[in-house]
Amino acid sequence: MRWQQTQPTGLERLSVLVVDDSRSMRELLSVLLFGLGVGSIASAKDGFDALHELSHGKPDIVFVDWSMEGMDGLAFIHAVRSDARSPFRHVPIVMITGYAERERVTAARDAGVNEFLAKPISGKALAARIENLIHRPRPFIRTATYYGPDRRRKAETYEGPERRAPVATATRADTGPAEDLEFFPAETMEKP
Amino acid sequence: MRQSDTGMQLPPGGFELVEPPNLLASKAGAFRAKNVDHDRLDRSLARLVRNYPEAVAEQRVALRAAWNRIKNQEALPDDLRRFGEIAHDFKGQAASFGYPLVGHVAETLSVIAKAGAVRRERLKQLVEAHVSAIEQILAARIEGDGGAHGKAIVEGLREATRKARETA
Repeated sequence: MRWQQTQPTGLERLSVLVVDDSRSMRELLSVLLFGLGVGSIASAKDGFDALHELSHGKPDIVFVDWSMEGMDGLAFIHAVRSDARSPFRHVPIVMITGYAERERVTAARDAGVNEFLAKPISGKALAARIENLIHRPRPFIRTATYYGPDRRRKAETYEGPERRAPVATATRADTGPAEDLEFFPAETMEKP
Repeated sequence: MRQSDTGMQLPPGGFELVEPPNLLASKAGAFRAKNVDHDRLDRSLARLVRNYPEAVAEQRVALRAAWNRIKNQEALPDDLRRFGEIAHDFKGQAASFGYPLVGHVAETLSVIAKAGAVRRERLKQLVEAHVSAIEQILAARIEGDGGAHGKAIVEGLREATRKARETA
């Protein structure tokens, strides 16, 4: 039996793609997403399958596991973000991973991931990531070597005088010491 | 000056800001995580957790079969890959289903498989102990850390690890 929320949650119009090579994990995520009120859930067993699903299902959010046979999560994100002609280049992507080491987080961030979801997965953590994507979206950054969500810490509202040059085509790199794992909330680095 | 993939000229170290339309907000702007009935969500998971040992029975049997052939030097061409794949699966999924102990045990198997060391003679007892532990935990439906039973299993694996080190 699948339990839905008794009241609409606001996710009923969303379509989500779950990419994981483990059937059990696909089922777990589907049950949780359905329980959160998501209207349409598709699944894919690896990155290649997911690229095919992207063009057919037109998902609003993609949850992708890091470690998969065939095309893994990182390669999938690279493929989505690097294709300038793709209509899905901006699709929000949440990386699911059992690894929360700094190097892995950095690699996923540099590939263009929007959010992390650490295993073991909980409904609360899943809901929090979806809320972030909806209400705290990050702009995309284009550099000579990167296209994806802004990897810097989210800017706080600042009402003082202008302190920086206009952002577009500014000469400051979007990578550097100021850019760090601080961007990702601490909770994404810990298992719930 | 370098050129971005859209043909835009970017100064060295420069960047262009792109604001994609927030399609999610237009479709799901009403969603707030705090409004979710998490008790209800947990109930939807309860069935999956309850049925986890049965859901992975096929993988458990396949892990054992692959290992038996490997240790008896009768491995089929796909056995090593399959062994590593199943260990990796258990490692990644078990804790989400309430079986972290299976995840921990499988992690060791996954590490051994990734190192290409499953066939090593001196690791035979260690691998056997870990495969058996997964079988025991699932058969006895030991959720969470398993309490005293879980502790005994972990102790047994530590002992097997010590022995494997001594024979190194």
